[in-house]
Amino acid sequence: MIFEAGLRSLKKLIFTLVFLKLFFSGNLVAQDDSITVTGLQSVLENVDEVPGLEFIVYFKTLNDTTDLTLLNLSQHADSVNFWFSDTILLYNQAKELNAGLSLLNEGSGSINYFLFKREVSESGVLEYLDNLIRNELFDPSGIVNNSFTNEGELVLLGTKTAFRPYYKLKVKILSDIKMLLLLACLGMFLIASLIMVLVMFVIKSKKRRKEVLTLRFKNLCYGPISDLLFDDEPERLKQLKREELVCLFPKGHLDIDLFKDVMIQEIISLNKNMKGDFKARLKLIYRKLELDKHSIKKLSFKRWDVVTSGIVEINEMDVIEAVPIVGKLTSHVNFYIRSNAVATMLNISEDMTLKVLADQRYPLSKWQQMKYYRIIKYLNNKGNVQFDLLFESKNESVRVFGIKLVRYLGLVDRLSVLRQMYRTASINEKIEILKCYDNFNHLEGLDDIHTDLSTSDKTLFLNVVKVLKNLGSEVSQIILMEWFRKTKDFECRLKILDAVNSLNPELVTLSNFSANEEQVNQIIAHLKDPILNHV
Amino acid sequence: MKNVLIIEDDKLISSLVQFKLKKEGYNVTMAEDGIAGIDAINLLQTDLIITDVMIPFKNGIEIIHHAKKVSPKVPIIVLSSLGEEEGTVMEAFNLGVSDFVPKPFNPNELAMRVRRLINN
Amino acid sequence: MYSILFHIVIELMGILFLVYSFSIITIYLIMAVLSGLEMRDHLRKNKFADYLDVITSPVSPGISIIAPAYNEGMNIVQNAKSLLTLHYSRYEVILVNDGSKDDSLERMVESFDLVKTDYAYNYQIECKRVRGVYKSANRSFSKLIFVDKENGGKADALNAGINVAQNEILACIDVDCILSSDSLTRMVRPFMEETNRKVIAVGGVIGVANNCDVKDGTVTKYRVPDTLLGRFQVIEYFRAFLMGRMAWTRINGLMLISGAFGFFDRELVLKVGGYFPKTVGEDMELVVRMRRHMYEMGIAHKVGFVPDPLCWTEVPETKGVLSKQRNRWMRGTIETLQLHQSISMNPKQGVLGMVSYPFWSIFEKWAPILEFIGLIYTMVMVFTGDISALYFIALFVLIYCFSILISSFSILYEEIAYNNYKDKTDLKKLIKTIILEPFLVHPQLVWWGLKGHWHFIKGKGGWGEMIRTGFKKATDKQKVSTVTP
Repeated sequence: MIFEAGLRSLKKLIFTLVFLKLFFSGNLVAQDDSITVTGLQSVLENVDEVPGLEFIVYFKTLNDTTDLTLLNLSQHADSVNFWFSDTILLYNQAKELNAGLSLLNEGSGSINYFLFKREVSESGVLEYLDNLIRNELFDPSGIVNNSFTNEGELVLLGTKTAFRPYYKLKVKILSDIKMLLLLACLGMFLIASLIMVLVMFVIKSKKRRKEVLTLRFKNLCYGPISDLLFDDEPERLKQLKREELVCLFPKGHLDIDLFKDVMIQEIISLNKNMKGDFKARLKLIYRKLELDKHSIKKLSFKRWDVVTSGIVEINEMDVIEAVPIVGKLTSHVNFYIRSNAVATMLNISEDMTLKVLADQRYPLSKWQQMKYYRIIKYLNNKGNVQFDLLFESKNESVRVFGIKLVRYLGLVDRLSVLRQMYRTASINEKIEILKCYDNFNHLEGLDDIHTDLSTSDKTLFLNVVKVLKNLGSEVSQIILMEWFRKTKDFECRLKILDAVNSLNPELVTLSNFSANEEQVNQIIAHLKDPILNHV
Repeated sequence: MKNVLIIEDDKLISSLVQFKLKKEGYNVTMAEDGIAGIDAINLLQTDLIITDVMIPFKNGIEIIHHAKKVSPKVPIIVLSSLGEEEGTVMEAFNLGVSDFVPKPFNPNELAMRVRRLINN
Repeated sequence: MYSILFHIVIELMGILFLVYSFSIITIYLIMAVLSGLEMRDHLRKNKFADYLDVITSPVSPGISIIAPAYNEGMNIVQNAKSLLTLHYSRYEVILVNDGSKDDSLERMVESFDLVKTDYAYNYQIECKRVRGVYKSANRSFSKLIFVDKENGGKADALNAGINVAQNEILACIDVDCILSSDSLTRMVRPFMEETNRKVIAVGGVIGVANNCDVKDGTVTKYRVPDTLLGRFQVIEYFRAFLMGRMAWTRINGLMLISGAFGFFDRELVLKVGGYFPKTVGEDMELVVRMRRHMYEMGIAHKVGFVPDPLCWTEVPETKGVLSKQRNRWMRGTIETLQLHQSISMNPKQGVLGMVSYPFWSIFEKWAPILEFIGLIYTMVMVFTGDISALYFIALFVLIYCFSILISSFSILYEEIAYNNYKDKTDLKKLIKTIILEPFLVHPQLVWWGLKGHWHFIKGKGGWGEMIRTGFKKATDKQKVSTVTP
């Protein structure tokens, strides 16, 4: 139940989180502004001093004699034709100086960048500016205005200023990897949910359409089927040809798969509820309309439920021709196909040796046992079913089921077979064999059973005690009392005393129980309670 | 013409029985669930009721109870897939139903029983 | 101004939240698909089931229904009666009176001719002292066993019942649940279909009975509750059972079976020592312990789930009772996860250790806390004014849509699978609830979850009292009364 609460919280959490995430990214985008390398000069031209950033102009002369001290340049100590300026704070000044120098035609000059007195490259400057902008230490907003006021083109200015921020935001969103991920995640969610909603609606409307059609088809088949069933001349149905039969139903409907399915369903349901010659008539209608072919066709489908419904139909309508195909499905991986195929084989193959069942490799579930029991009970009433293959099966659960059948169907003549099996039987088989003994008040091989009291399996132990309660000898009483002293388990003790009490009540009262007096008294009181004994 | 009421949730069965009984010359009404069944008992002048004991919305026993209260003389046939030894069926007999037809059943036989009960 | 450190923290949280939200969305979509597949398979399976056969077949396993009751005097007789009329041949009903202070015992004795027996009670699982085991002198109530014991809480009462149970399968239910008469046949089906994998437990769906018509133990007319809290729980239950549990069943990772309606293999329950009475989340704890045991033994096993509507219960519609319930659920989750910490990310524990456990810790246990932190962050952001308004609105709408989407899915699932709420106005009411719930109900749930954490830390125990009014008897259109406001 905690799950419900969690689910709820979970979902809400996503919202908050998704929200928060975008929220942070949004902040970054809003503060960030990018400068490209090519644009560095233009940015620098348009700003005042940038804290920490300085410029020095270098100039390499062609002649050793050129003297530039007049222009406030200093000569390098090691090289006579290398001159440099003082540190300049404004980029525009450095640019002017460089331009002036280049006019001299005596060499080449360059502007060099210094961050906190250390020389850096253009990209280094760029990174630094980025940092400043991100931390709001430096406001480049002046750039835009400055650069465009210089142009003086009003129209151009208007367009460009409006366009630029949008462009930047978009670029930012697309270049931020986290943002991309987030968008992908949201996009996926949206697409997936849209698909799912669509699928759901398609399923729902399909289902609804099918329901409506099924109902309509049902109503359509009542009339013709009743007509055919209650025809006063029973022989007429036999003589009718398929075409004549088809004419009774609305035109073209018998070519529709759903209509066929509905027809089969209705025929099967009637078949279950009807007695006498009506059953034969229903089967005749089924065959004459060639619905059996429809059922057989279903066996080759991929969907397990379609195959299974085909098998069920074959079973209900005794389509014996399909036995070879159904036989192949008896060891299918799918539980429903397998179990129904076996049921069908048992029901319609007329094989009284139950070989299909004995050859099962999968453990037999109780659900299957329930179904097969009903079929075998029916077969047993009809004829002579041979159970021996079941007892010889390699599959333990099949053997156990075989023993259960002895008990359920009252096959007293098999008890001798069970006796032979007992010694080598597994625990589960032994338990069932003991139940048979108990049920039929018949016991062979008391000694074997006494030995089994030393088992470590509690269920087997309790079943042994139960059989002995019913069928034990005087020796059993003594052995049981020994076990009573040996065992500590409360339930076992209770059942042992119960058994001894019913075999020989005096023994219980006469016995000298020294240890655990209290517990023994409790048990004896329990055994003597009239209401508890009643049940 | 005699009126017969069928209370049964399996429409196929009820329409089949209806078909048969109409052929025999009865006027047949169908009710698919317990509530419709009770309404029909209240409103219609029926000469015989055929009912299941396991139907939606109402217990079949309640319907029998109600029918016996409203018109004690109308015979009731129970049509059910439950065995005769089941508690509900026994209870139905105690309430005074006239007949019990277990499913699977033979519609001709059912029609015969209807005829016999109505003629009595 | 942001310092570098703060900047890094925000970056990291951003990534964390991104991963978190990404996984949640993915998990939810996967869950929706998985549960859809499971539901489809279940509906197909149902076509081939003859449940009538299960009732009488000698192969069907015996069932012991165990229903603990504490101060249920008003309804106990009626509930016992309806439990005794379920459609199944081999079962017993064990009512455990957990030291009620009211007249439960007297009422039961009087109504069922109960007699105190000399039952030799076996404390194979430890529990509080049993004062007496009662049986009816009337043969027609032979299925009923009434255990009167000293108060010890729900888990302890269940243990006391398990000690008496004789049948292979235990059905642990809340005594006030309304069970459909074919609930037993349907719930034993997964046990009966067991082939290769041992079926150790089977859970069922719980429906909201408030405001519905109940007749013969089944809901005949569905109606949504009148209050918002009630309606919200209808949707929440759809979501949890039809989406959540179905998906977990699909991958065999189910970790919780509702204490109100769960079926267990008796032998295994005894082997692992029954319920653990010291936790308030005893239902979840038992399932985890059973599965853990199976994994440790190396036995292939399965926890089944039956999505048919078979059991209904009244849900609390008042804030007080609901908050106690949620608080308890949260504590139960924390306690269970805490107790079984060693299975976390343990490959030997299969799906349980590798998927279910991590999911529960991250997305169930920590959810309210993370959500709360998220909320505080948002607040801080809003107040420092660093937020882009456009984002705020866009995201809010998106989040909201996601919430509605998930809820609508669960309603659609219900529609496709059962279509119980047929009335158009009911549907409209549910849709309205979906729209309002994120604002009105959800914040409270988060708060109650946080309180659960707090109470767990403080070490509070005991389960919140559920106030209920009695079932009205014997009227044709019986209505399950709602909790008194």
